[in-house]
Amino acid sequence: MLIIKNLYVKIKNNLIIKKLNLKINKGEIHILMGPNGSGKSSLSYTITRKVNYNIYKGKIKFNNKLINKLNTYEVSKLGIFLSFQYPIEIYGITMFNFLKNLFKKNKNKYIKYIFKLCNKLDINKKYLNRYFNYGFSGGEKKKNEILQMLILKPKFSILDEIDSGLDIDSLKIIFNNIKYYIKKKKDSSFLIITHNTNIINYIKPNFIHILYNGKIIKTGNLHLLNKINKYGYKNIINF
Amino acid sequence: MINKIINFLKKKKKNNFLNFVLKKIIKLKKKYLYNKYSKINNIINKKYNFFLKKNYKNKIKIKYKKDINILFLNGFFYKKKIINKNKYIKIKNEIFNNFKKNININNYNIFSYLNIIYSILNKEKSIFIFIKKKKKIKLNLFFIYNNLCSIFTNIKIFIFLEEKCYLEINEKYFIKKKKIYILNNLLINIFLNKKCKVIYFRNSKKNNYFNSINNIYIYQKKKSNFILYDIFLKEKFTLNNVYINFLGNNSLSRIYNIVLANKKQIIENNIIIYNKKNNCNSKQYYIGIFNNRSYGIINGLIKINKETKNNISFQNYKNFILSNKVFFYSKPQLNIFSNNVKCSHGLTIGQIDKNIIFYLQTRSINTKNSKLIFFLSILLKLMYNKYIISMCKIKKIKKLNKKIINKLKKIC
Amino acid sequence: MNKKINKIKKFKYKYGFYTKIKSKTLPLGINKNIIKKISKIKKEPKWMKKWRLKNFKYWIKNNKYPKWANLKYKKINFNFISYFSEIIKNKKTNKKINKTFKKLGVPINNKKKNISIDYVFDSTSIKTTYNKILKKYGIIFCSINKALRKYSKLVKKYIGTVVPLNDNFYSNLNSSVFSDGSFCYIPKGVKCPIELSTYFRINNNLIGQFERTLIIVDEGGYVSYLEGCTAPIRNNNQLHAAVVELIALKNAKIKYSTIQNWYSGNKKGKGGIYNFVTKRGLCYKNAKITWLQVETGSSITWKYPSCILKGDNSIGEFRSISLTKNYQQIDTGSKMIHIGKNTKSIIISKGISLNNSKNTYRGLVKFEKNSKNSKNYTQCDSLLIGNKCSAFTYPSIISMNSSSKIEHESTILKIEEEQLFYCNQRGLNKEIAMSIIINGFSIEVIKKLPLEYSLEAKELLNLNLKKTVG
Repeated sequence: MLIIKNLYVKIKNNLIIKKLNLKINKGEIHILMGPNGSGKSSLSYTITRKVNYNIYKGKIKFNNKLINKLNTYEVSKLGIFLSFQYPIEIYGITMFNFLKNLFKKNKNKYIKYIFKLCNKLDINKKYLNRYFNYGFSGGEKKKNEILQMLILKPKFSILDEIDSGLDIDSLKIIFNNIKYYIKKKKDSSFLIITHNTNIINYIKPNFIHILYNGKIIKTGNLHLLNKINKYGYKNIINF
Repeated sequence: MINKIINFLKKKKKNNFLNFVLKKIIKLKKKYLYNKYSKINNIINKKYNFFLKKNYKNKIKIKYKKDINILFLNGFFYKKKIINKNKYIKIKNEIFNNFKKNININNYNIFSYLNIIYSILNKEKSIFIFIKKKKKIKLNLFFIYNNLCSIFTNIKIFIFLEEKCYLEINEKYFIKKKKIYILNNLLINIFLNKKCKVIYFRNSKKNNYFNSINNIYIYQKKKSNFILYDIFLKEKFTLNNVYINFLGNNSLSRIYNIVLANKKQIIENNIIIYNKKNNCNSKQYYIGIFNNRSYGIINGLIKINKETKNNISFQNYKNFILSNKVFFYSKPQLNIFSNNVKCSHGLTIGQIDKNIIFYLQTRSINTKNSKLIFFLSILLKLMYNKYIISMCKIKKIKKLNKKIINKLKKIC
Repeated sequence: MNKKINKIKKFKYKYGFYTKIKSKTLPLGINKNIIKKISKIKKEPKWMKKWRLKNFKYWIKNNKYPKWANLKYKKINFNFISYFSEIIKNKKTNKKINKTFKKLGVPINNKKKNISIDYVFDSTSIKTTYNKILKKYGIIFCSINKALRKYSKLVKKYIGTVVPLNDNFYSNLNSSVFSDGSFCYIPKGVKCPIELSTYFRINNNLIGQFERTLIIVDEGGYVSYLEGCTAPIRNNNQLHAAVVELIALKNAKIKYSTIQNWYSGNKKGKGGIYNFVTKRGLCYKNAKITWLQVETGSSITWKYPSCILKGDNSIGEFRSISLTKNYQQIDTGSKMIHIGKNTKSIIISKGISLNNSKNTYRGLVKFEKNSKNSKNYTQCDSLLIGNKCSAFTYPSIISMNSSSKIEHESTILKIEEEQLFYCNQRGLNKEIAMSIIINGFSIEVIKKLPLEYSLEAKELLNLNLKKTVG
């Protein structure tokens, strides 16, 4: 599904990603870990083609289509979704109005659909009439991200620290919904960026990658997680 | 007075340059002198002795400080004293005409033109300071007055810095005779080359009969830093014009103004910033505390040219008015012609935070002192700024603080 | 290809059509005779004629063309304008007018719910709806001509008291030649149950519209008033110089909203309305005046809705959005003059500039000596979208006492890339993303509009954006 080959990314003449290779097949769940500042978020922005994240070398292919030269809008139309680490606030637009714009067809049924999803995610319906993310707590913002994912039904989702700043109840709700989504849409794949090694209690990943200085230095399965828990990043990097 | 000068000029034989200046003066006359709120008219129309003979009778004793010292007596260049002799500095004393090629004088204000005319008519020379590459220098300007009658003085200083210089400028005033009016029209041009750093301390004048018009023009090239540090405490009247021109990318400027006015002081500030290049950064901080019958004006203008990028400009004016007889006027303006900018201005006129006063009073501090603490907390934030601290010694700031606290005690 | 053309056609200025109609138009030019004629046609009382002539005398004497505004345009030739044009009323013209207003979306006969509309076509008022209901409450709402004839004393007492004789060039001109407008009087303690509104339409080619509005709310009353305006597409510039006076007596409240959608000129800046308007309100004790405006039209706008806060505890509000495109120039803002004690004022001005347009905020906040414990909050933000547009702010602040508070903030920004990126990532194209961001930018003003019009205002903004961004 997603193939990244020899990727180099530059921002203002600084190389932030160097020779990165990654392949994610249909229905796979990958976890990306790494110390702070290693380039995890930059990778997610590069895939979603944020301005200024220039691909200096290499290729990113999605479903055999080269997306190097597409813009953010076109990439999202292909079915790539990014859940932001720090979702933005838009003053003046109610959440309901924003969500309305995400529907393409069946515009008549969307009200019921949104209510249904809100129940599932345990979002208070009052929030729908508030301004988008304005004055929301960290957990509510993250729930809002998942709500949008469920509406957009992407083929490939990048979840950037979806688990940070959440209490246990919200964490369970969010991962239950992700699980449910995977069940329903089996060929959808995920790249989950996280610091939390307990994540395997909620979801079973196929691969785990460790990113360091813009490079994937180690790839493995669940055993790798245990190693990180035991020794920390430093020792693994030095091996 | 200006009419007098114009008439005088009209009678005189003229060359091209004089003609040009005369035209400019006539054109600018209305704009400045008939400004609705400015009090300049009252000041300039007093009787001053315009063409004063030099008076060197009294001997002057001054403790010289480090590096370069330049002395002006009654508005004329008097003496220079260089301690730690430094070969890379040139100080010339030449007629203005020689330098007008280097500086674009088309956009001067009327007082600067008056200053120039004065020097031409009086055949007075101007100070030209040239500092060579990579030098670290302190420059002290001493203005000494021992005049017996009221005078109008015009002083010009041009400073050229080569690349990567560091310069600290201090202004000092010594006034021997009190109760005699002085109007000083100062014109300073500073040209900063690549990666220069300049910090300018303008201390308060000592005498409350002192009136001054300051015109400072700054020209900044690539990656240069300029910091202006103005404190207005004692002067009777000040019209302060600051013009900053960004001629190179990535240049930075900071302007700090502290105005503590009481009695009948008049303090007018005009700060104008032209952004002609990309990635320039300018910030102005102004704190004014007015009491009694004082009169305050602060005008700011930020102009950002077409097709420039990533300019950041910021004005912040904080004012406290403590008496019902104060007049305060402000006009913070923005002229933006580019869509890739971040500009903002904030202006507040406010009172003392009652919660803070209440808190302090419960700690058995009396009203006057609690007011003092409140104002100090605001002023000190400005004083101990990372830009200032990085460019001069903390001792210096502490000295300034003492002066400010003394004045604050009088105001509160 | 065809679809594209259709799309472009859709976004054209909807109200740019011209109605061919028989009308009586006075010859071009301005002089004493013309003013006398206008007064005669309108059957005005004598004092009005005198008042007009006095104004005209003053105008001729002190005929100084104001140059201080940040606007560039050719000097207007005041002798190339017809100052009066009236439709000859008969069955045929009535039909045509009905058709016109129907096309404009404000049909005369199909009464809009709970809105009483005064229709002004060129120089005259055509009809005022819902008169009967208003009469029940003792509310007077009619054209100013009718008021001059019927309620002469009331008009004489208040006209020219807020905008005095020597106020400015255009108000002076208006006072001498004004042709029609609305008059509204709300009696003591009456809260007007329906929205009042006036719809202005300039139709004739060479005519200038000079309307005069006078709203008086007696003690404890309340009214919400709205004006809307359109004009046909023309290549030459037309003049519109209006004066609006509001008087809020003790405890009264006035809400005055404007949705301005004049023809704003074509892409090269040709044509469009020149709009020079003087709007001012006077607040007595505990009174409140709110100015709301949404501006998208007219090639030049010169407008400073102001409040004189004379009474203690009075409140003045000004909220405005102005969207400029092509070569439009707007110089707008507000004056808040605090005279009474404990007075409050709020100014919120939002400017959005596209293409080559010019957006200026000019304001004045003044605290007089006796205006103790007064407060002002000013916020003026500009959003620059076009490459060649420009934004200016010229606020003036004067304070003459020690107990007042002023907070002034102003920022000039471009659209935040983070917000745009977020919306794009959610599969929203640039057009929708921009409209979302701009709606957010302008919500502070729009949410205060009367419900019936807030949707209209939103649509108007979006439509204008689509024309340029899409």
